[in-house]
This record gives sequence, C-alpha cells and structure tokens, in this order.
Amino acid sequence: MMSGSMTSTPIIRVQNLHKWFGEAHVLKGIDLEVKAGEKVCIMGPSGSGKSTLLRCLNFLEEASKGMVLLDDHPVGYIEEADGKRRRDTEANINRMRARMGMVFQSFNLWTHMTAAANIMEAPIHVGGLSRQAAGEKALKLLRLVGLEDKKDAYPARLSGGQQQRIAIARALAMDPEIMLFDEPTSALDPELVGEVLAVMSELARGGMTMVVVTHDMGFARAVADRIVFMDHGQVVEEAPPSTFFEQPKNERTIQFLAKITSRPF
Amino acid sequence: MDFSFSIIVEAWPTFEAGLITTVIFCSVAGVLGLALAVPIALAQLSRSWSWRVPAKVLVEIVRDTPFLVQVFVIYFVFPATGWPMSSTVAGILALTIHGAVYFSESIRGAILSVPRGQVDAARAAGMSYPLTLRRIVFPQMMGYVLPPIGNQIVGLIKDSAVLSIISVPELSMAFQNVLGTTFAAPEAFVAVAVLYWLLTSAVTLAMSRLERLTPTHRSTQEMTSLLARVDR
Repeated sequence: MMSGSMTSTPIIRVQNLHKWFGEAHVLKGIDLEVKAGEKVCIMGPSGSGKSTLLRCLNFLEEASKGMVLLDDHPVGYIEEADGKRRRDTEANINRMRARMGMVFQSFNLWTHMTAAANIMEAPIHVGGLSRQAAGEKALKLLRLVGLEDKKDAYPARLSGGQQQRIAIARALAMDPEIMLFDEPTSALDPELVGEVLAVMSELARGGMTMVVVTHDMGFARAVADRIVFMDHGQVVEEAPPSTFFEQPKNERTIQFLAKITSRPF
Repeated sequence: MDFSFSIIVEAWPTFEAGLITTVIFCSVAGVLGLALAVPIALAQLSRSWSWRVPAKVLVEIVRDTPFLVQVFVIYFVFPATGWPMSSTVAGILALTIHGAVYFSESIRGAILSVPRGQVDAARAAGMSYPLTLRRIVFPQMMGYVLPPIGNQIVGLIKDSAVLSIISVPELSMAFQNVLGTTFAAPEAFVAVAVLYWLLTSAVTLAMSRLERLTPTHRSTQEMTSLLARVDR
C-alpha cells in the first residue's frame, strides 16, 4: 500500500485527452503524468474540467478522444493492430478501477451499510477476501482514520467529516496503487475540514500516490509535489507549490490566485 | 328490501372456488410478472439500443391499450396464428404481461431514484455492474419500489376481473353465476365486493409489513430518531 520511495516511472499517463458532453468541450487535450509516490493537486475555477479529468482516470467517465495509461496499459480500451481502439472487457476495466481508490466530494458511503460493512464490501465481493479477513482489515483502516468506535454506525449517524474519513478507509481497502480525491473537503462544514485533511496528509506521508482535486490552498501548499492548474478544459500551468503560489506565470493563474486569496471575509 | 345472508352462505362454494381461482391467477401472474419486470426495467436502462428499443416498444404497447383488448388479442388472435390457447393460459399470460410492464416501470423509477454517487462509488471500487445492482442498487431501491408495487398488485387483482370475459372461472365469474342462478342482486354484489376488498387489504397489509424491513425505511427511522434527539 505504501510505496515509500519516490521513483521516476509514471504510474499514470494522460495523453491528449478530450471530452465532449454533447456540444460542450470540457477537456481540450489534457497531457499529464503522475509518478509513483507523487502527490499532484489539481486546482482551477469551477467548470474547468478538474473533476471530469479525475473521473476519466478510472474510467467513471469515458474520454471522447485520447488515452489514460495506468502502468502503460490503456484504461478502458484495447488498442487494435490497425490503431483503432475498442472498449476493454468489463472484467479488465473493473480490475483497473480496483487498483485506484476514489474519494468523492459527497462521500457516497453506501447508506444501507454500516461503516465497517462499507469498508468490507469490495474486499469481500471484488477481492475475494473472507468475511473475517475483511473485518480485520476494516478495523485496521478504521483505526487509521481514527473511527474505530464508529464501526457499527450507519452513514446517516455520522458527521460529514466522519463520513469522509470512512470513505477514505473504504477507498484504501482494495490496497490501491493510487488514490484519487475529488474535492474531498468541499462539502464539509469548515470545522470538519481539518480532520479529513489530517488523514490525507498522513496518507501522503506514508508514500501514497495521490491526485487531489482541491480548492484548499493550505493543503496543496503543504502536501503537493506539483500543482496542476486547469482552466476551460486545459492545463494552463504546472509547477511545484512554492513556484505556483509565489511566482505564477500564467495570467489566468494569477487572476485565480488573486480571487481566492483576497476574499473580503 | 330483504337482505338474506343465507343466500351468500348457500352460494359460498361458488364464491370460494372463484376466490381461489383469482388468488391462483394473481399469484402466478404476480410472481412471473415480477420476475420478468426486472429484465424489462434493466433493458430499458441499457446503454445498448438493441435492448432498449424492444423493451420500450413492449412497455408502450401494453400501457397504451386497454387490458380488455390485450386479453382478446391473446385469447382470440394468437390461436388464429396457430398457437392454441386455453382460457387459463391466455388469462395468466395476459395478466403476467400486464403486470410485468407496470412493475417494470416502478422498478425502473426506483433504480433511477438511487443516487448516482452510490453507483459511482461501487464502480470506482471495481464492482461489476451486476454486483453493483445486487449489492448496492437493489437493497437501496426497496423502499422506493415496494409502495408502487403494492398498488400494482392491488390493481392486478382488480384487473383480473376482466378475465371473466374469456370465461376464466374467477371471482367475478362466480359472482355472475350466483347472480344468474339466484337473482339475488344485493347479496351477490355485497359478497363479491367484500371478497375483493379482503383480498386487496391483505395485500396492502403484507406490503406495509414488508416495507418496514427495507434498509431505506430503517435508515429513515434512524434519521428520525436522531433528529428527535437533536430537537430535545
């Protein structure tokens, strides 16, 4: 789960990715690489395509053009000899997805299951673990996110921050090689943001590869190796946090940073 | 006007036979209809045209024509094309198709009412579509699907009266027979009405018992008790 050292091989490679929703061209040729162990934060104004890009990484959204490669294997497609692509088998797509954990803005814990059952679900039914082994794993993960005492609670009984920590534990349960976070703190009350970021920082320290769509500058500055700034479906700037926040080059980055740092209250 | 219970008591064997036939027809059609409704609903939600279109055509044909006409078509038109059809087979077939289509619309609606994020989370965890349906969507939709299904079973029981037209010996047929032999109109009317009412009430009661067991209901209750505590 924790790879520790940072290597230089890209685990994820995005090549010229395009996405149309009907007439709307929301991703206009994205190129991106994420190395094993790297923490990449994707920032940008709403509607810039950040979430869509993240959802393309694990094929929750199918790109209209271009490729996502996980360890050099195209995600969701098989490349034919004649260069045409066709949809991969469902089994292969599911296997790829299991290698990536995903955390959603709205938590999306399964409402009819307890916290522990949420975490155990995929290990049992996808990973083939025994109920007992999955239960032990769930307990370990609950301890990691500091919610051991909530194992029998249904999501409706948990605060947003607790739900999101359970959701992180659930995403870790399949021992993913990479974690995808889609604005994990945007739906939280301000006083609950910290506990979720703390778990994420802990995960980052453990060496997990992370792609995080976020508006949280503090987190991005502290944890990210690299910030990817998107606007209008394009990557307009890519830089380490110090450079990104102190010496942004692109005009749109400068405008965006000015907006989010100079709020009147 | 005299109202004589003894007439009902004397005619009871006829009513009983009719009632049993109605229960059997509706049970068989209900179970078969529900079993067919799930694939029809899934076909309508499929990404592929070749599933969606035939399911949609079936649903529209059945929804947009009177049940009486469907019964006639199955009983009189099918045999003309070389499929022999007894009134029993025709009756159960008509009731099954009718039920399946209406059930499938409720199931389709219930599947759609499960929030998109619940499915996203399952797919992101590597769960296949069938597994997602079985483990996530179906349990969560129970709370949404049982109330309309209950109404439709009640509707099915009432619609089954139409089968007397093709001389299925069900409850309304029994009523007509009693009426024809005794000419005791008020007694026969009251008896048949009460029997239908008892039957549909039993279904309604059973369905509300079932609803209480669903996860949606449980979590709603948890929410309610939680809110009650917060209020205090």
